[in-house]
This record gives sequence, structure tokens and C-alpha cells, in this order.
Amino acid sequence: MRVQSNPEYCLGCGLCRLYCAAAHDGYDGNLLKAFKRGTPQPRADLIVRNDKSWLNTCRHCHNAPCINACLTGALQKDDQGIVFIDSQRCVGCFTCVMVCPFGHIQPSRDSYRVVKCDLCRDQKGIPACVSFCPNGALSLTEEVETR
Amino acid sequence: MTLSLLTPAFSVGRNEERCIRCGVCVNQCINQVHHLDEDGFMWVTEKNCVGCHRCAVLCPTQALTITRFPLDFRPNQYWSADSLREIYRQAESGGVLLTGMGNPRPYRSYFDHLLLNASQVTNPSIDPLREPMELTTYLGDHSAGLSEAEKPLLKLEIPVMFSAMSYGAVSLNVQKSLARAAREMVTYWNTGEGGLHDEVKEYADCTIVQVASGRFGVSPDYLNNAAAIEIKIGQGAKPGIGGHLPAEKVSPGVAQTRMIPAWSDAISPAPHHDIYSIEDLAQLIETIKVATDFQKPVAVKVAAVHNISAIASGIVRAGADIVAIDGFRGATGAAPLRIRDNIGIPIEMAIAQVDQRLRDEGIRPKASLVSAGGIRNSADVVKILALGADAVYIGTAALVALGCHLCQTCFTGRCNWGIATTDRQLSKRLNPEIGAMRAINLLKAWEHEIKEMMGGMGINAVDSLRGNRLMLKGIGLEQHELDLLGVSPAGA
Amino acid sequence: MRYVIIGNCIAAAGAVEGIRSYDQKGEITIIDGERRGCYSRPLISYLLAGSKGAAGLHYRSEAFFARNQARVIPARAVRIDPPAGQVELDDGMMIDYDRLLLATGASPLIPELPGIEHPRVKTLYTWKDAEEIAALVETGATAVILGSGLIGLKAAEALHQRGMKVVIVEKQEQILPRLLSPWSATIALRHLQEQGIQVLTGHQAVSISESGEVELDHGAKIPAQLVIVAVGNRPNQSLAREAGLKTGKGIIVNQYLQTSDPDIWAAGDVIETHNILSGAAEVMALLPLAHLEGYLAGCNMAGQAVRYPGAIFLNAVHFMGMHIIAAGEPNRSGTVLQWQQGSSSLEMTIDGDYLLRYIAINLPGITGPLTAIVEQQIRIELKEWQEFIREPSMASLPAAYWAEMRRWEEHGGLRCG
Repeated sequence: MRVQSNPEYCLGCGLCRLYCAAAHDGYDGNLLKAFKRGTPQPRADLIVRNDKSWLNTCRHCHNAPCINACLTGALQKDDQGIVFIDSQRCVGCFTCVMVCPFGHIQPSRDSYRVVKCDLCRDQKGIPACVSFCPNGALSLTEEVETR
Repeated sequence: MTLSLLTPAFSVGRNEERCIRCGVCVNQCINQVHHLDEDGFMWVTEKNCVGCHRCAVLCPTQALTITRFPLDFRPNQYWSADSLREIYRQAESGGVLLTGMGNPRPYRSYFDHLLLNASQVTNPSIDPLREPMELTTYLGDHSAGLSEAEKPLLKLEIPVMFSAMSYGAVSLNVQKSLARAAREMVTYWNTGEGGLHDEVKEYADCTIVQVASGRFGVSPDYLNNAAAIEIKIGQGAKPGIGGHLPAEKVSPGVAQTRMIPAWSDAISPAPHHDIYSIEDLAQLIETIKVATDFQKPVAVKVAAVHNISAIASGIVRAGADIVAIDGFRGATGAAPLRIRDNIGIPIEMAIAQVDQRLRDEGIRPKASLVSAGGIRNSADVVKILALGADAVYIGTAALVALGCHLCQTCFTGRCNWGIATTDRQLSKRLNPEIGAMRAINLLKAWEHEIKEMMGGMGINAVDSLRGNRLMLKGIGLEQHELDLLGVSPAGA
Repeated sequence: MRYVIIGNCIAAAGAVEGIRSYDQKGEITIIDGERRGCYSRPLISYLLAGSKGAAGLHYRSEAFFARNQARVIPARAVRIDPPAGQVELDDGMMIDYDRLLLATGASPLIPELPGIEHPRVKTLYTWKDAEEIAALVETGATAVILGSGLIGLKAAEALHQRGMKVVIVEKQEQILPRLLSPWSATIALRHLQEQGIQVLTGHQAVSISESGEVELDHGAKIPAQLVIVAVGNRPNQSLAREAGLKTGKGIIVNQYLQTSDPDIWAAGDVIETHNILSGAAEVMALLPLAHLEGYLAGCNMAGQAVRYPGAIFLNAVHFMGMHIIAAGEPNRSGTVLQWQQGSSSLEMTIDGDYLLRYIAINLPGITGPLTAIVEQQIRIELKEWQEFIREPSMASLPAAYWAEMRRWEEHGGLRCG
């Protein structure tokens, strides 16, 4: 299960990243409070290349290279197949960043750990980015990326 | 450099307590109204704002408001602010004022002066959720007797079709959205004069292709990839002049479909240069019927002008199966402002008169009447059917359903909603899957409302509504207006 | 089926996962020689620094071994008897096996130096080492670190964080000689010096006194409270050798991670791995490789036949606000491209149409795709790299990379593994 991004309909508006950021780190989806009071961090980057844009989401790979490489065992796969980070255990070594072929995982703002897409597993409903894309460019798909 | 005397038309308000500097307004406005510096300083260039509301709609915290620029002139009922601004613009440009969409002037809307009947006590109401309601409509020549061969007809499950909007005036995604919706709802969409793009050929069975004076994209293949052919003589937004697609909208895709060079103005001449009399029209109609083996109805579209009854009568006698009349509220992608706002007559008058005239001449069954130009809602549909139309075309309403905010700058090609543009990046903003869903929703909603109104009148088939002036009463109308419409006043 | 694993570190954990992905019934017994549970070795420098407690060192929890039904015996293996299919432990117990995995890892190299045996001289390799070093830490006093490899620098960072004055002594002319190019090493060195670490390159220790004074080859003497020896590691092959298995620089395995004995597999820092880029079989002691090798060995022990195509060198490490990420083959030459902006830098070595190696300092964003390009040997012309290096970013990655990503997304997956 992962979020698929369609460059045909992606406008590069960035709303997905805003809502992603507000859906994490305790802001509970409150966009206004998140951006007025804090420094929320989106979990995925927008790539703009040759007149096309798309969200560089986590593929939640079947045999994820990041989980294999993680020095501390912080990166794990839950029983829904979602690859997530136990941020208490993350030491910010960036080995996972180095081995993700899609370049999805990013350093946290303070550079002491990493953040990645977790399909909004701590929120109710579908991932925030899919929910708030104004042009239907993002969808939740069941296809699995196998290694 | 001389000073421009023009002030902005709109004022953009930003609520700083809500603005989170996300930059969505910046990246979504093609007119570059909003600016955001690296240090978080935000400002607006208001003179660029056309009032399309894209920024306000997409702003995730509703921080933006768009209002008329608050510059009051001394009160003058004759010299309005707009009339002054138009002169300032012409003094600076020396050019014809162009505009888009339909006539916005405060001429009387007869729809808003007609009331519908409902049943009370006798001839009881019908509940559309419990009883079958027939909206199915057939367009074409109904004059064949039982023993004669049947003429080709268009079958519609709802008497609402999508009006002609050419690829070039609108994006391909608009056409895809409407084509899908037409197929889903079993009605038709119209290619307009821009030809038929390859990617919408699959919708041939619900497509009406247009043959306009520029003959753009017309070929045997074009005529046969359609359910009907419409000869466009004129349209309500610009009667008497031809079409005009500005060079900046003639992208390679548009050029290929129209079979013309890219990036140069696409002008359709005012008349068809092979139609100078009603006999010439008859000949073209016949030619098209021969070319399509008499399998498809041929329609003729005209603007509603002063002698519309005589014109319509002539068109029917020339062999047209459908007569489409476009009233003065009809919209366009580009037209001179003065033409759009001052020429043509209301469609309510035109349909009422044409319907009556054709009945009087005994030729009403020979052709269906389609009304276009200014249908805003399902009540307008019911009223125009009662005045004599067989079906309606919606243009503006369809685009509004897709997201249009009637900013009237279609002619620039810089449509922030991805509708009136052929720019590839802007066109992406209308995802045809979403567009089709919205258009389908609109038709479904109207279908239900029409059934409710009909049921309220005690009518369960649209045939009983058609031309049924008894279902209408005028309110606030002069006697001559009532006579022309063929309705009696409320209370009488 | 009785699976026995000697070692309880990264490869062992991987092996448990590999075995259990195919065999939920077989018995798994782990011989935990260090007697500390399965902890992540790289984390001991954090323990030393004081930023992680004992509870935060585990790589896999006790719950992991419980739910995978793997029994952990806190004892050291002293002998393997392959004909009998037995492992002898240091407490005298004999453990029978049907399939055995050697995940014995490596140990620090101790150079022959007068004074190397003094109690103030330590290696930083095990949890116990970290505890003993911590007991010797004295704020304000000097710590001398012999070797500027990854362990040496992590030790330096930890001791600096504990308030000690740190001096690094490196035999080669640059720090991180096996990881970085001279150009990148200069950038890294400058950063370390800005943080207050003293570095002496091109020198080595010749003796250490009882009081901890370190004498260098050019006569300088550094009084040290503490000396850390971090000059390299060697695989723990003795068990394998004594059991008659084929060994070289490390235990020799085939592409199924099987040793010369068909019932014995080996994985992790103890083996020779096939280096995809150089073609050589060499010790590649890297955590991600250890985990993958353990996993694949486990799969194969459980009856599958999954090939391990080998690996490339890859390292990601963070010292004192500087992130260094490097992957590829350090010893091959080619066209070198360099980019620098502020504290970030990127160096790439290209041979023909292939990226051989990259070193990225404070530029993590594009390293994942670059690693994939190196590992999968995606063909990209030099001129595209020359365009890319002008402003390295995800969007400016060469077209061939994006084409490969599209292929993976359509067909599901990478080639290796």
C-alpha cells in the first residue's frame, strides 16, 4: 500500500506537503496552528522536472532497503505493511537516506533524525495528502514495490 | 513613459492572522498577482487581478478575500465606473475592447419574470420518486408519416446538451470532461468550430460536430465521427461577425486539429462564403446529408436576432432537422465587448416566437428547436421548454460546473482554472475525471429538479411540457411582452 | 531442524528473520558470546557520549527473539565439530546443530606498540569497552585516538561531548583514508578542527608510557588520560579455521553464503564478500550488508536458494554536525567531478558511462539515487554528470536514472536481493 503520484494532474501547488506536515508531530491536522505556532515538516518532497511535477512518496517496499540498512532497528514495517520510524531509536546516521533508491527519506529539520511517509498511520482516515490534493493527482494504491 | 490612468479592478485582501506563507496563491496565479520573498514578505500586484478567485479557493486557511477595488466615482447613473474605465483602456491601447463569456448587462431576464404552475386539488401532482417520469427527448425531423421511412433522430435521456465550445477556446480536458458526462447521462456535447481532436474521437456516438464558416477541421472523417452535424451560422455572443481565436491560444495541438498554422490568429469569416441565400444553405445541408448517407440529423445554429422567426422558418424549409437558436446571453471565448453587449435578442422571446411561427405555418414537426444562451438552472430549462424548445444547450453553466468564475478574461488564454486555455500547464488544473464527475453531478441534480417541477405541475412526460404556455404566468411584464411570449399574467 | 547461530549481532538478527520467513517450526539457538543481547554496535559511541542509555542500545528486542522462538544462550563458542554437528561452549555444554551460521563478526586490530597493554589504552568495539572507557573519562583531560577511521572519529566525537580534549593521530596523510578522497578529506578535516578537535596526520605512535603519555614518530609527546586504539579490525575466523573451513581475508562463502562445509553458512563482518565494482572478494564490514547477508543465509539455511550478488562499499556517518555519505569503489580512477557550496560538497568519480563512487558531505538528499546508480551500474554519459554537478538536486538527476525508476515502478522492484 502506498500513495501514487500522477504527474499528469499534479499542479505543483504544494498543498499535499502542507497537510502532510500538519498531520504529524502532534499538530493533529490543524494547519493554522501548525504553521503559526510551530515548524511542521512535510515528509515528502515535490520534484519539478521538465514541466512535470510529482510528489516523491515512500513506496513502502516489500523488502525495504531502508529497514535492512537501519543501524538501530528504528525503521520497521507494521502489520499493514507500512514502513515507519520509531523516532526514539533513530540516531540520524542517514544510512537509510543513503540506500533509498527513490531518495524519499529526508533529514529532520534539526538533522538529528530522519522523517518519512508513514501513510498517516497515527491519524484516522486516508493519508492527508491524498485527501487534500485539489486535482486528484494522488491516490492510495494497493500495489507493492518488491525488492 | 506616460502614466496609466487605470486603477485595479479588484482588491486582494490577506488576513495576516491566517496567512501561513505557504505560497500556494503565488504558484497558482498565472497573472502573478501574489509575491513571496525568501524572508517571508508577501505583497500583491493588484492591477493584474482579474477576479477569478483561484487563490482564494485554494488558500488552505481561507486567508484571502477578493473585492471590487474601492475607488468610488461621484454618483453618475449615466457614466458608470465601467464606461469610464473602458474609455481609459481604449485611450491607452487604441484597440477594440475584447472580452469573454456572456452579456453581463442588466437587460431584463424574462426567465426571472415567468412563474411556473403547480397542481392543487385537481389534476394532482406526481411524485417523481414514486412514479416514472419521462424526460427522454428525440431531436430531428418528426414529420414522417407512419408509412414513410424514419428520419434520423438524436435520443436524449435529459433535454440538456453541452453547447458548442471549441478546442482552442477551451482546453482538451474540458472537452473530455463534457464528452464523458454526455455519454454517461445519454445526451450530447458539441465540438464547436475547432475540429475533433483524436483523444475525443471515441465519443463519436454522443458528439455533435460543428461546421462553421472557417470550416476548421472539416473532413469526411470528421463528419462521420459524429452523431449529428451542426452548421453554425452565428452565435448569441457575437451575431453577424465570425469567430476569433487569438494567436496565443493557437497551440500546436489546436493548430493540428483545426488544420491551420500554429500561433497565428484563427479568424472565421462572418458569413460562410458559400452561403449567401437560403437556397445556398439548403444546398449545404443536402451536401452534408449526402456525405453522411442521410444517417445523421443536420442542425443549423443561429443567433437570436431581429427577424428570427422568418429566419428560422427559412432554415426549416431548407431541410434542417434541428434549429438551434442562441440568445444574447450566449457566451464566447473571445468577442468584441460592444458586439457581445449590444447585439441580439433574449432567447425567451426568440423561442416563443419561433415556436409559434412554425406552428402557425404547419411545419413545427419538421425540426426540433434547441435553445441556447443563458440557461442558469433547472427552472430556466423548464420555462424555456414550456415556451416551445425541445431541448437546451448549456455552455456557461457547464463551465461554471467545471470551476469557471466568470472573470471574463478567456480571450487571453490565461485561465487559472484550466478551462479557457490551451497552455499545457494550465490545462492540467482541470482533471477530466473530476470535471466529468462535476458535469454529471450538475445534470443529475437538474434532472431531479426538473422532474420535481414537472411532477408539481401534474406532468409526467416532457412532451406535455413542451410548448405548454399554460404552465407559465408572467409577472411584472408589459402587455406586449406577454403577447410576444404567449403567456398570460399571474392572477389572470 | 536445528538451526544454531554463533554470534548475536546484526547478521544473527537477519538470519532469524530469514529462517523464520520460510520455517516457522525449526529450532533456533543463538550463542551470544558477548552475553549482552542483540545490540547495535555503532550505538556504543552514543553510550560513551552519554546521549543513549543501556536501554537504547538494542538492535532487536527480547520480544523479537521470543516471538520468533529463538533461544539465546549467553555463552561463548570455543570449538566447532563439523563431522559430529556440534558446537562446544565455554561452559562445557555441547550444542547439536543441523545447520550452523557463523556470525562471529570481527575484533579490533591491536598493533605491536610498547605500552599497548596499559590499562589506559582501550579499543572501542564492544559494549563492555564503552563502559570501561566511560569510567576513565575525565573532563578537561586529553584523550588520544590512534586512527582516524569511522570508529576513531566516532570515539573522538563521544569524548569531545564528554568534555575531553581530543587529539587524533593518523598514520596516512589524510583523515578517513579508506573512505574519502584527499579533496573531501580536507573539507572534513577543516570541519573537525573548527569543532576543536586536534588532528595530526602523517604520524604514528611509537610507544605509550604507564602514565598514558603517547610518543609519536617525530618525537612529540602527548600526555593522555586515555588512549583509544582504532586502527582497523580483523574478522574472527579462528573457529572457522580450526574447524577446517576455507578462509582467506575472511571466511570464504559461495553466492548462497555457504562455507566449504555444506551445513555451515557464514555472514557479516567475518566473511569475504564479492565486491561488485572491483570484482574482488574482500571483507566488507558494513551493517546493512551484515543484515542482508544474515537474512539471505537464513533463507538458504531454511531450504531456499537465494543468491547474494555481492555489494558495494557504502557508509553514512555523522560527526559533530557534519554528515558524510560515501558509496562506491575508492580505489579506481576515473574522471573526477566536484561541487561545493557553503558546508556542502559532492565529489564523483566516473569511468566511461559508469559512476564508480561519490562522496557527499552535508548533502544527503541525492545520495539514495546515487547509491542506486552505482550499485545497479546504470549507464549515464559523462556529459550528463557534468550538467548535474552544476547544481546537484533530485530534479537534475540524469534521465537514465528516472527511466530506471519508472521501470522499477512498472515491474516492481530492484534487481538485487
